[in-house]
Amino acid sequence: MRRRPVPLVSAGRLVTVIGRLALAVASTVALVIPLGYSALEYANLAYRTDRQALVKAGAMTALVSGNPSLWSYQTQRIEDLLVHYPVPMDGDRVSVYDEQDGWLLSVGEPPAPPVLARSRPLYDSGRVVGRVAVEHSLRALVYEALVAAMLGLLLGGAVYAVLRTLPLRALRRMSIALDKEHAALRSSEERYRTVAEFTYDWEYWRSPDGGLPYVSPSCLRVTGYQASDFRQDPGLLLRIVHPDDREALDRHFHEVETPQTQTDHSERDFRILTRDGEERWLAHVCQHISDRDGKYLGRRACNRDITERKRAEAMHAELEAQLAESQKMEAIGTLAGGIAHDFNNILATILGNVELARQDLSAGDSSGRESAPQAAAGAPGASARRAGAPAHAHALVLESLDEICKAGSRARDLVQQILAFSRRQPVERRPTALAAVVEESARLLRATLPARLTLEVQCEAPVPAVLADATQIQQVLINLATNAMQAMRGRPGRIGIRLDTVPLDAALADRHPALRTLLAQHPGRIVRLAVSDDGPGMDETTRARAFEPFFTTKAADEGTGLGLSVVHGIVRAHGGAIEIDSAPGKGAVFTILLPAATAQPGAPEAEPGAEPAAAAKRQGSDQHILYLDDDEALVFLIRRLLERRGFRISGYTDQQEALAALRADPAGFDLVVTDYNMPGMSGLDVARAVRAIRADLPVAVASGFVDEALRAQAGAAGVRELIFKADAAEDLCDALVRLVPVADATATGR
Amino acid sequence: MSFTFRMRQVTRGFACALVLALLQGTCGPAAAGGLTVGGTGTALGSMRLLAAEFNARNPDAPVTIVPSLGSSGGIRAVLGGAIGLAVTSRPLNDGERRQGAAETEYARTPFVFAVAADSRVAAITAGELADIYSGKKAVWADGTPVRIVLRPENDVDTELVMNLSPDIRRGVLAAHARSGVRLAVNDQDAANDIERISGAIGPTTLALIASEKRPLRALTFDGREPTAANGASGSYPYFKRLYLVTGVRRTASAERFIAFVQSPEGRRILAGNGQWSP
Repeated sequence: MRRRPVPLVSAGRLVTVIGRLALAVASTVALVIPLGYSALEYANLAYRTDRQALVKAGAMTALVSGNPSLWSYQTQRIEDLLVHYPVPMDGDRVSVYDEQDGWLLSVGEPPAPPVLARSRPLYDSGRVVGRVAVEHSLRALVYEALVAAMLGLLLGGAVYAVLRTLPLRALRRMSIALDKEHAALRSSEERYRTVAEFTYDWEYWRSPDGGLPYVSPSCLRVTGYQASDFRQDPGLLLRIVHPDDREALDRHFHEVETPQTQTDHSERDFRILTRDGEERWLAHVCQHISDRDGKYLGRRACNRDITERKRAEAMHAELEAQLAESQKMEAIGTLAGGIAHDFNNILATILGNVELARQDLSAGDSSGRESAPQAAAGAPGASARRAGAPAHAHALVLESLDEICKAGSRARDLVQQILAFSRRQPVERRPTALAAVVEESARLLRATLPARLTLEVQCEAPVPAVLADATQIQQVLINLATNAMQAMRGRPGRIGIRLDTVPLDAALADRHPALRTLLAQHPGRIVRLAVSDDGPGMDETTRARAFEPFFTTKAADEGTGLGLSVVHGIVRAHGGAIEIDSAPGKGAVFTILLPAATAQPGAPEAEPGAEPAAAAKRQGSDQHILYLDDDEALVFLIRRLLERRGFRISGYTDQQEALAALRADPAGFDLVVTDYNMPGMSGLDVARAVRAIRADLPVAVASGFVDEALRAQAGAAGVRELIFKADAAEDLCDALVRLVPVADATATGR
Repeated sequence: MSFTFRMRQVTRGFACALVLALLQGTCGPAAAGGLTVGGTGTALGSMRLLAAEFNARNPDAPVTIVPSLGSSGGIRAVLGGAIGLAVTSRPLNDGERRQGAAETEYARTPFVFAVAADSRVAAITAGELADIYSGKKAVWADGTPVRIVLRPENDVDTELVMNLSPDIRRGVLAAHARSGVRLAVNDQDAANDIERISGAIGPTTLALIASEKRPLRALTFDGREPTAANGASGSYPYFKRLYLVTGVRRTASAERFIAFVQSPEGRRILAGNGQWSP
């Protein structure tokens, strides 16, 4: 669209005109000078010659009149007169002719031709009696004319050169100046054009007549259309706007182009459909441009492709929602976990005492029993004994204790699920082949699922091992399958479990922030474990809240609303991600993504379904255990349980008292067991203090939440073992018994 | 145009025609039975006196004296038959003789330098004359500017003047080359100029002064008084020879007039006008 300024007169035409003018002036000079000089000189010579003839005739008049009939014989005198009156010009020849025009005499040499001749009559009393002729050679004039012509030519040439050269030089200077100006303009235009053409944004100028005189080439990148497409069809500008945004944008254009409503800048985001049909977001800013007189010149607009930004914003919003959801889940988990932990202690106490009561009733031996627990937990039994109750009553008490135990067990299971969701269960992850876990889970499920449901298992081989807790993964599969089964609501259907790998890429990591760190550290394939069903599916609301604890769509007696929450907690504890793909009537697919384990030579693989070695119901031999817990009921329960196993227990609810007792008799204890979470000194602090008192004394720390960090800190503090406190009191006792040195060794050690 | 003016023009036209007719009659080659004489102006005054006397005695063959033609003009005129007898102040040259002209020296007259009669100058020397011609002497003794009257370079008088001395010759040539010097073509013009121009001096002859009774004074030259007697005696050595020239056809009237000029009566008349017979 480059355009050169168009001169009024072309340079070539101007040069021609100047050349012709110079030629005309030079020709005039070259002709006028010799011709003018010749004409003037000729006129002068003619005049002088004529005057000479006149004067000579006058001089001869006296001679003629003095002797009218014989004057012509006085040639000597005539000659003298002709010579002297006046002295003839050089080269002149003066001749006298008589009345019959007969030649009488001549003075001077015949002039060289061409000759200028002038004659004057000789009068006698008014009668012409002869004439005097003066001839003058014009050869000198011719020579002079030639010289003048040469001078004229030279002068003309000089004039031509000057007139042609000076204006042309001036023109050349002007041309050079103009060229420089044009070069500067071109350079400036090139700069601005370069800037304009390399403008990343799509810019255009809309003239008052609706045309688009300028459209930056970047429109091709933004819209897929060439700049020429817009220039030739300005209506395309509005047609490519997304139909939902078109009316508003058109109104916006109108407002900006209307002087009464225009502002300095006006911004708006809108969508377009590119030539390929792709939807793109553009940030539009335009300006009403007027000249100094207020005349509207057009609207300048700049459109920036903000599609990526919009996508990022959408993703950011989604991530924020995910974060909020995660925080909400975390908060719920923390709250539930805290409650569950305390509640678990209470349940442990209840169940422990129920177990003691049952043992007491079963043994029928009330000797050695302590009165307080009987009053607290075995009230029905005591009442029966005091009344000498019959066996029937004894059976009723046992039945009641069984019911209490069942209810307590359900409550404990519930608490365990809450703890699992809140990730307060100890997790021991090790490289695990998920295929085996899947197969084991499938066996369990086939045994429990109704016959109307088909379980399809598909494991892609080979699938890399996953750093996982096999038991928890199994729980995940069972929970998801159970959730699917319940979603079927008694209808036949299909439940599928699929294990395979998928590439871990940025898109996947963007959808699951938990995988981002993994992507950065171990890019590659990731293990996918999917559980699908062809049930009724979920709507968006249900899907969004599926992992919330206690959120359930089932009947009140069909579920607790913790199954999927537990799944969510386990997956997150494994550093994985879970997503739901579901729609009403289209079933549901729960996809779990777990990072593949990096090679860990020597790391043992967990045996699926392998039960940890059960602690033997070893009886103590009066080994002395120091038990510290701020929960007095738990201290009481543990002491009773362990004392029944033959151990001697010193229970404390205060750290300082416990340490004081130890300090008083360091060698009198075989094991120190302390709770971790206590006011004041933590269990680890107590362990350190114990080691300071007696370094070889085993110390165990019981905690309701065991994680790697705590394991590491415990190891550093010299703790012999971390005991998961959420288990039943009996289990806790089993763990403690394992830690107590055997009687012989203990005796030796003391 | 008034009637009086027209009548005056008509009258003037008639008068002119009459004069022309008379001139044609008197100035023809020769009047019937008469003789036309013309030539140098120096001798014309004397010729008129001689012609008057001759005509008185020969009324049937009158002699007419035409205005000055100069010596050369007279010779050409007589050779051309325009006049019957020429009077010259130089002898014929070979060419003129070959054409048939013949001359007869009939008188001599002192060649003089003259001033106006009212001038106080009476004498001059050759040195003064050279100074005058050269321009060194520009005023007369009385303070009057000296004004030279020259004759044409080829004129007899100029030749005579330049023969007086080398200084005078150089002076004459210088005067001819000088601007503002009066040049008189014939003897009468020279006499007229000398008469009327204050302080004028120029060459002439005693014959012309005497015969035409000119108010001129012939200056004593180098102490020699220019008289016919002195000329005849040789004490005044500067003179002009005067000739009568006839053409191819020597007419009787010419013969008679020549004879009369050479007659005692003629000589008496010439002697009485500053001339002497050779």
